[in-house]
Amino acid sequence: MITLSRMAWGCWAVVPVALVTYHYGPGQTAYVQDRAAQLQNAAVHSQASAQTAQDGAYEKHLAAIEARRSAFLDPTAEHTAAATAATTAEQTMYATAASEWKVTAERYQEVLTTLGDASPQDASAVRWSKARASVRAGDIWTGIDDLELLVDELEAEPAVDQPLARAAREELATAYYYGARLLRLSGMPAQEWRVESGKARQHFRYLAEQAKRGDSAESAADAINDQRNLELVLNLEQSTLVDLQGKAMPKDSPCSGSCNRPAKKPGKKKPSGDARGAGVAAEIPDGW
Amino acid sequence: MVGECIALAIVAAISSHAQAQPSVVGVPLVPAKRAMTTVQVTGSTATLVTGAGVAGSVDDEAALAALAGASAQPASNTPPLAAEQLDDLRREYNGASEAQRQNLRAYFTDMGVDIKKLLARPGEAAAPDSQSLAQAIRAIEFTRTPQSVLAARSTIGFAPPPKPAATDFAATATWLQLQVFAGEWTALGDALRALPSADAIAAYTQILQTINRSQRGDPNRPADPALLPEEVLAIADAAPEELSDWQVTILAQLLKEAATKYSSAAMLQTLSADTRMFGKQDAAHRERTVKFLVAAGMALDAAEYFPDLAEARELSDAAALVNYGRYHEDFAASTRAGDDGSSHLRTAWSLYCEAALIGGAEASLRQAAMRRAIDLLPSMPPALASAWLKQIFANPTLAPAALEIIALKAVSIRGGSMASEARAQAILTMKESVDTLLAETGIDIRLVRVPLRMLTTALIGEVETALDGSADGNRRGRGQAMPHEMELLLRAMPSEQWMAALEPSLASRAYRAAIRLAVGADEIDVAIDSLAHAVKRFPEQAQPLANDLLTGWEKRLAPQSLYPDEDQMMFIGFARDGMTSAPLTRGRQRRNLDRLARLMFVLEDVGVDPRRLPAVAHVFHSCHGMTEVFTRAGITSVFGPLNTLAAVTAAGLADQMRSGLSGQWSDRKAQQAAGMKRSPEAITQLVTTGYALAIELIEQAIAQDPKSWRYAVTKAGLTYDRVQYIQDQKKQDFAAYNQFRKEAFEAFAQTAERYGEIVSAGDQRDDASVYLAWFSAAVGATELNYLTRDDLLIEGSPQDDQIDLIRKAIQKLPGDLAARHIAAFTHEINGTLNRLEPSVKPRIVKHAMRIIGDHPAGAALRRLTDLYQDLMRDEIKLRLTIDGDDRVGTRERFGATVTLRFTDEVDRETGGFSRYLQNDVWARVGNSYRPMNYRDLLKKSLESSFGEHFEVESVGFFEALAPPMPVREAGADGWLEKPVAYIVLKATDPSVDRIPEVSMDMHFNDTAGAVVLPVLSNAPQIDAAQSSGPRPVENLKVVQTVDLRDLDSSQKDHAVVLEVHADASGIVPELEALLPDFRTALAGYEVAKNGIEVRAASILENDTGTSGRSMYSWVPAPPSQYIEADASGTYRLPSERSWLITYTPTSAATGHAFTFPTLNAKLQGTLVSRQFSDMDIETVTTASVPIRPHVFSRTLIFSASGVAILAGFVFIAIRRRKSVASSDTETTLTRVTPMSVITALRRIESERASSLSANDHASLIAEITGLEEQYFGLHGAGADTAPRNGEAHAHLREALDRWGARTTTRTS
Repeated sequence: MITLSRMAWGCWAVVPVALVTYHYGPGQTAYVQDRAAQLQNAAVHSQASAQTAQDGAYEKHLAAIEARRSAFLDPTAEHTAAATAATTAEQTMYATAASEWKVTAERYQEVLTTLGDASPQDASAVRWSKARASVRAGDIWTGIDDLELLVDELEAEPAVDQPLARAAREELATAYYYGARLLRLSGMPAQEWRVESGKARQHFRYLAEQAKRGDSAESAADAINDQRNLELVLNLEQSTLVDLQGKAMPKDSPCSGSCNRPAKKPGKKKPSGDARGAGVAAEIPDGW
Repeated sequence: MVGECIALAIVAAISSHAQAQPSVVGVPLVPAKRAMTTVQVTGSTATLVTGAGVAGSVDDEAALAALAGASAQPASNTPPLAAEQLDDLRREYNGASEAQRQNLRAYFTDMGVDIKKLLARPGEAAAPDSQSLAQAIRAIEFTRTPQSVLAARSTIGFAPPPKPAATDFAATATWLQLQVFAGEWTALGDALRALPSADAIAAYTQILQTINRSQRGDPNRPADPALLPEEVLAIADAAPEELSDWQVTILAQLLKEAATKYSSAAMLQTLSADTRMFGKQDAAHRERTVKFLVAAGMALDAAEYFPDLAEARELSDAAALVNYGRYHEDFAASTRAGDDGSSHLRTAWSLYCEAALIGGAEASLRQAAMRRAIDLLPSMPPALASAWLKQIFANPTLAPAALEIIALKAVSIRGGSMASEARAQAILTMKESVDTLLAETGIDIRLVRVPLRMLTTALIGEVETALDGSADGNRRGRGQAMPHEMELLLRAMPSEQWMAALEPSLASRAYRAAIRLAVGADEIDVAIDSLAHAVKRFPEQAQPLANDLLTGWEKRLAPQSLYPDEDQMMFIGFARDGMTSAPLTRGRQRRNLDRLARLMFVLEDVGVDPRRLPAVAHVFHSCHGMTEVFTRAGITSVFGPLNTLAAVTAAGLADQMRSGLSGQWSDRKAQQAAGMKRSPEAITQLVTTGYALAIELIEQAIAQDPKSWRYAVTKAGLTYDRVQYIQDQKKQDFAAYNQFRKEAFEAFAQTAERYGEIVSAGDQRDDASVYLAWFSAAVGATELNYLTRDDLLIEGSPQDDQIDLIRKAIQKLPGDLAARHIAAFTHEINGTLNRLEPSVKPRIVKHAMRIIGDHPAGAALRRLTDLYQDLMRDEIKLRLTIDGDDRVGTRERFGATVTLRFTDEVDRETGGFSRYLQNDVWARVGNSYRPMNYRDLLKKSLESSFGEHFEVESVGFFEALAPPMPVREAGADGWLEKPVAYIVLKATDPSVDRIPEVSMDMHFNDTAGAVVLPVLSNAPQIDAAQSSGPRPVENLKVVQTVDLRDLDSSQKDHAVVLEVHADASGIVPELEALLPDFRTALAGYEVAKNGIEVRAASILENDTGTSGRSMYSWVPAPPSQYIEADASGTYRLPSERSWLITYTPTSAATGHAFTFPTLNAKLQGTLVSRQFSDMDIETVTTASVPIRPHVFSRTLIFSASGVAILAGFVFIAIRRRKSVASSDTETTLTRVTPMSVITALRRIESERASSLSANDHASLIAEITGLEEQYFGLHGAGADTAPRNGEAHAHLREALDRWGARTTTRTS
């Protein structure tokens, strides 16, 4: 009995040690993940809210287009006032949506900050979500920069997450499309917006070709979708500005964005150097 | 040969006749006006002697026929001879001897011409024969020329003509002429003295008057009597009586001329020995000699004939004093003076002054002395000069004379050859002299007014010449005077007292000149003072005078380049002598503004509103530093409160501000260049405030004159510039910017409409400036000369429609106004072209042509457009070609070649395109030549062209001097291709599907100066998602060198190193593709993850790219062979790569050989294997090299240690049973010798003694002793008794075996 009792007390004494070990070991990771999960839940909620606002804005956008068309065709005071009101409502709703997306992006950033280096796999997905939210909030060029980095990293490790890599590229192509469209609508010259639309076209074409190589039904659907997006880009390039102004914007596109596109990046240049360093097996001249 | 006769005729006569009858003369003749040919008739031939020598011969009959033809016309009917030619003929006829005349008359009579009638002057009867010798002599001339002298000497040399009879006047005169020509002075003197006095004097007079006459009456041909100085003395001595003064003067002239060509030593020697006319024999001779020599400019030589100076002074001999003065003056100018030159000059001046003040002297002498003294005044100390002038001007007789001399000198000074600065100094001296005169009280100004006027006129003329350069040399032609000259002239300007003495018309001009001169000398305060005096006297001229001052001041503050074309500067070098422009510091800016404010007050005092002067705004602008923005305080300090500004002034200031704000005021680089260290924020603040102020100013102008379209244009320009500036600072959203820009353009449109209404109503002359301003804003900048390529309007951008709107606005003008305005607009554009940045010119022309359309005025621009089109599109093409398959993969290296294709004609007309592949090429850029680094520019352009989805690994250029190769372009011949660059690229994303087009700037010259044309390439498609594998290569060479020297080095981890170096034409493949089996080269070794060091790839260029025109760089000789295209037409440069592979040992057993990796079977190339042997490198021809496993590896050490330990245990165990083992040892001696056997037996005896019985032990010892004795003992058997070789061996072996067996058996 005494032996059993001693064993029991002994085990009980080990428990705090185990707990402390867990706390400072795997417990930390679990805590971070738990905290990140909570933040992500909040971000997802915020995203849903933003999406709802975006949908609402889109409806207002359609209504505003219709109202403006009516006012154009029949410029009565009533129609004009309705058009003005619809435009105001549209802008207000887009502003709300943009604000919601901005909050979403910030929350995803909090998730990323919390996660740190704990879970690169999860972090990539969160980065995608954050970049997507940035694009829809109107920070198109920030979102594009994030997505370009993400695509580069994911494709450098092909085995990591192909669906995520594809999604990131799709989102990147979409961001370029939104950017090009907004640049064009804001009156930027063709040489500015064509650069962006060209990138969107390239990415959609690449995605469509990759999807066509797959043999699953999902791939086939992706191929059709990407093909359609590719055509939309071509339409953007070939439409006149007036045509474009009369068409509805894409559903998830921001209404306006920062048009201060970063300056055109020059071709990346590798530092050149003389390959014939000491010790390289070049011909050794006389005198050695 | 009837004797020799000389007929002198005018070639013009022959010429004119020859023109009428060319077949008669048959020789080419020089133009009648200048040709003068002597026809020497000798026998049956006549020789035409021209000034240049013998020109040809004609038959005498023909020549005379020509003369006859010329003279055949009746005298009344004027022959085809000019009056001048007739005079010449007449002179020659009169100069001929009687015999010659008779011959001539006979010939002319035969031709039916009466030469006397021909030579008779109009209205005169035929020349009668002379009635006296004097008449005969006066009819001929004694002008000596080289030809006449030679001819006379020749005549006398053949047969000296006898002296004719005294009654034959003509013959006597001719004889005298011959003596003069021949230089027979003694004969001449004798003959003259033999003649009656009157005839002799007449003859001598005629000789002196005509001997030095310019040849043939042509004043442009200098006289050349060909006299020696001593001949002049001889002529003097030939005089029939005492020489008169004028004769001495003429003789002095002859001497002066002769002395310039010949030495006068002989003459002086003769002179010192006394001659008939000159010498020291008496006072008259001395006086004459002095006069003669001094007049000949030989005052120094005349000194010995001078009277005593003291005596001359005592006698008040002004002439002697002047002569002494001449002596000292000449002495001062001679090399003998040395350091005493100025002293002599002062003495000379004192003597002149003394002579001038001698009351009893002749007036002419005093004047001459005074003239000479005044000439020397600039060199005299001012105090002395002033004292003398006071003496002169105190004399009521001398004062006007002195002033006249000064005035005459001033007038004549401009025509002289004096240097401008010396001239200015002389004028200053004169002015000071006049100031002295005017300072004298009691002077009657009326007496001196005329010379004063002349002097002032001369002074003003000099000033105007210095400022405008109307009549002077090159430097003056540019209106620039030397600073010192300006300063002297400024000091020479008339004082107020002087001005008061002048007539108003001249005083006004003098004031104007004084103001301009002061401004030119940068003495603005002096100019303002002069202006103040001027406007007091001439208030009605205040405005133009002030405008003059302002305009000149503006030029001083912002000087225009003297040399618009810098090319000229290359040759002028350091000769620029214009007054340098000082930098406009803040202090200087403040002082200038203070001066301007003072000027405003001066003008206001006389009732002129200076703010209405057109130039005042410009001066205000120029008073500011290049980078200083106008401030409200600055404007107020000069112009008063803003709300009081006149419209024209406000608009002028606003326009100045617009120009500055869109140019250097907002340019940070310009600010830095001017030494300003303003931060970007400070500049932004200044510019923003400046725009606000400028718009306020122009709005005020518009408020005063709402109908002014010019003000509206300025406002529209300012508004547009401000919008652009804010956008450049990234301060507003693009949509907002677009909106503001639209509003600015709307302002231009409204202004153009307003202008259209005014001009349509006939209230305005045609002026296209509103359209030009609108156009300038539309294409990117209101100041086209500041327009850069980055700001230039791009087709398809939102403001592109403005060009169409401008065209429509012009076309809306009624009637022919539209066409006229398009022409005016075209004129404006043409005038702007040469100021444009060369890179923007093509696009400006293109946009302008959209407005100009097919208007005839645009022909020049249309030609330019066609030229640009030809060059950019039709005759030059930039081609970008992928080297190999277009499936380039992602992050895989591939090559692209840039080639230039062009037509033969372009190659020929533009001088080729080699320069684009070179640096340090001297090329014309704008108005200057400068070294251009075309190659670097092209490299930069290529690198910036590929966008962000390509990594430019390296850019290599082909040989600059490689000749272009013929190629067919679009199926057409006549094209050439020149490889330009080979670029190694990597696509960084699989979605990339095309290479962006690259651009190459080409520099040409068109009719409006330099132009830069960007030529764009094609944009080839690629597939970055797939790779076709290694890129095509040629001449692949791989060298691999293995280093096994560290195999045994534990410090270096027993690593094996393989260096791989590959080069090829094209892209060298990656290592895995090049040597696929390199990882398995050595068993027991592996290539770690970081075991491959990849060295940077590089493209190998044959050409350094330095132009041969570089002044200081050594240029290598061009290669003997240039890179050529392969079979597919692709040019590629060689590239090289290298890798360092480190093999590290694994736990597996090391192999016995290092097997060299082999070249990929898919690649064509050579592979050389080598290995290090100590410090040498050896080529290895086998597939592998054996290696010696390292013996001290960790495994080996552990194994060896284990074995050693085991061996130790075994040894101990064995040692316990050593006897068995040892017996074997002893009995198995490999070599049986007496020593070894004895040793073995001793060992048995010592180690195994216990196993032996006492007898055996004793036997053993005995046997050992026996053997020692036998083989080594002194008393043993020795050599003689020792067993032989075989027997000894057997004996010893037997003993050893026996004892061995005995001890072994006992032990066991």
